[in-house]
Amino acid sequence: MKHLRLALGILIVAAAYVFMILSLPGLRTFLAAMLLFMLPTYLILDRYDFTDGEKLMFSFFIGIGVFSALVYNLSLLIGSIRISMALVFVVLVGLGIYLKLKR
Amino acid sequence: MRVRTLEILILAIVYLGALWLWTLPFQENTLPYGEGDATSHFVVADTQSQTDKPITTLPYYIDVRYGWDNKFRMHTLWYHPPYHMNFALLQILGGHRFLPVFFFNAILCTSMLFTVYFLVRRLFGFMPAILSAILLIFSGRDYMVYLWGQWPERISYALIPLILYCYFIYTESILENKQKPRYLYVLAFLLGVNFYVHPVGLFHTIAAIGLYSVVLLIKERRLMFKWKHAGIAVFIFLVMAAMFPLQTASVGIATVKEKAFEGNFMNLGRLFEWYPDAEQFVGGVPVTYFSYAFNNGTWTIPFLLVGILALALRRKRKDWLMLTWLISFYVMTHLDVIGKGRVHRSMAAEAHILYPLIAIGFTWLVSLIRLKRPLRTYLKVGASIAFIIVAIMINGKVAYSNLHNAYGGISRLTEPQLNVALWLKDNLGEFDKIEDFGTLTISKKRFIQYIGNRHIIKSNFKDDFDIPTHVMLDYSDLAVLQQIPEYRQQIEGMLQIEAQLENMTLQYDKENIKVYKLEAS
Repeated sequence: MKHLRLALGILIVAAAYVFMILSLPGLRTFLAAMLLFMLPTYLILDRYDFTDGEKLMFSFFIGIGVFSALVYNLSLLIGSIRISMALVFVVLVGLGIYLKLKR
Repeated sequence: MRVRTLEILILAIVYLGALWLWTLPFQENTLPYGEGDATSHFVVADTQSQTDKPITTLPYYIDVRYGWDNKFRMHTLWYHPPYHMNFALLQILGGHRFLPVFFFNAILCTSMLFTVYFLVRRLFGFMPAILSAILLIFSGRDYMVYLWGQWPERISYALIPLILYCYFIYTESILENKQKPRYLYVLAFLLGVNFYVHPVGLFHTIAAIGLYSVVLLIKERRLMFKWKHAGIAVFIFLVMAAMFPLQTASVGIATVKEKAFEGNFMNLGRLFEWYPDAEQFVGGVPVTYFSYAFNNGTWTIPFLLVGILALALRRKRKDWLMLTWLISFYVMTHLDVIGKGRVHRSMAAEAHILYPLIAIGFTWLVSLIRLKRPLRTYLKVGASIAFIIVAIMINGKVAYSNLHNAYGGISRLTEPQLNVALWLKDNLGEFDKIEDFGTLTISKKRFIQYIGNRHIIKSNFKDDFDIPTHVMLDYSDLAVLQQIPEYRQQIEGMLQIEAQLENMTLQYDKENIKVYKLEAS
């Protein structure tokens, strides 16, 4: 990522800002949203030839549909949303890392 | 500092400003607020996070109100599950029952800034993009609908520019013989998400893509896609839709059966009006919802017209994309003429297309003044700063006032009402029915019902099945309003009801709220 340092800087400032206006639950929500909905899809899309901005945008908006769709369906099978969330997260992040290594 | 870095920093500052403004309603008070829609979205997420189980069949306290909303199979979840699952996950990880739902909705609703910026930046450059984003922060119809709680619709509209971006890059790649099918596949995923979040956004997107495709076909006299790519994209979308067959089938049935306000059927005069008559929606939507001046500011009209004119004169493919998006918006907001659509809901997508046109019109006008560098740059920056100041002074002022004062005091759920809701959950049976007297609004009653997971009977809509097992006398709101004769009368009426309950069992009596069990003590 060409603008990794800039993106990390903005993320840290945004997190501090959210903490300032919405305290700890706000910060936890913000970080959880980035972690669940953006990171796994970002790692997968990183395999393909998109710009940094495209990867960030696509990963977030695909993440809010696909990540939770997988969690919902898996939790129907195993009966726990928390466990499904952890499993889907690990599998998608693992897939992203695998695709990156394979490249 | 590089120009690109500066652009990203400006966008980040603008977005954080938007986030501050749009989170004003819950920065001080995290208790839930909103209209009926807010309560229903909250309860679907909340039930799943509280029980750690996904909802398929609706629990009783949701079913009594929404059991008929899935048109394919009654008593099952009527929305595609991912949207609400997002909030359930964030409630779990956020460690709070209310704030994650409202905060993540603020993030999603304000994400329109990014998607519009992203499209306009790619097509027309930084200045129109950032000006569009700044105007969007103050878009009246956007924050009104957000405050009421019709969140999925907001988010589905926010996706439209991003999908159009993908379609534009893909079709350009085909027309220039440098195939980039990955953009069409991403588009298919985004369309799937659009469908999950709210089908109305999907219909808007399809209308815009369809019209743009027709224009391309006429203009370029060749197909702007490859059948193989389109086949894979359709397959991705169908797999996503098929993941939730009950909800997808329900959308299909509802779309076929849906009828618009009948008064406008074949009313050709409507074709010459931008908005429908506000009188048709009295009681449902405020008159200001239908006002261009309130939502966008009349000062933007000249720039809007210039923006449309500039694009119509130039007519490059990127110009056609914006124009066909505008035309598709017009079509979607005039479907009532053929007896279809929910045009007042479709109107909430207006700013996403109009504001870029306003910003394009403004920058085009500025570009007409011929100066040499660096004077040209100074003029561009100076004029843009003036535009932003006017936007803040006119649109921003109203937006701040509305968001800052939204659902203050007893117009949202109060601490005593939250406490009684929690008590209901712990102390009443699953199928007990509570008749609530005194709680100020229907949406507050619903929040008590959904936080308490117990059915509150709406007194005006009682039927034979709604024989209460408990009566709740909520004096807490009325105590604040007792100086007003109308509410003092209501308190007296409730005291008379309470007098009739003297032989019943008083189970809860705290903070001006009492709950009687309808069983002799």
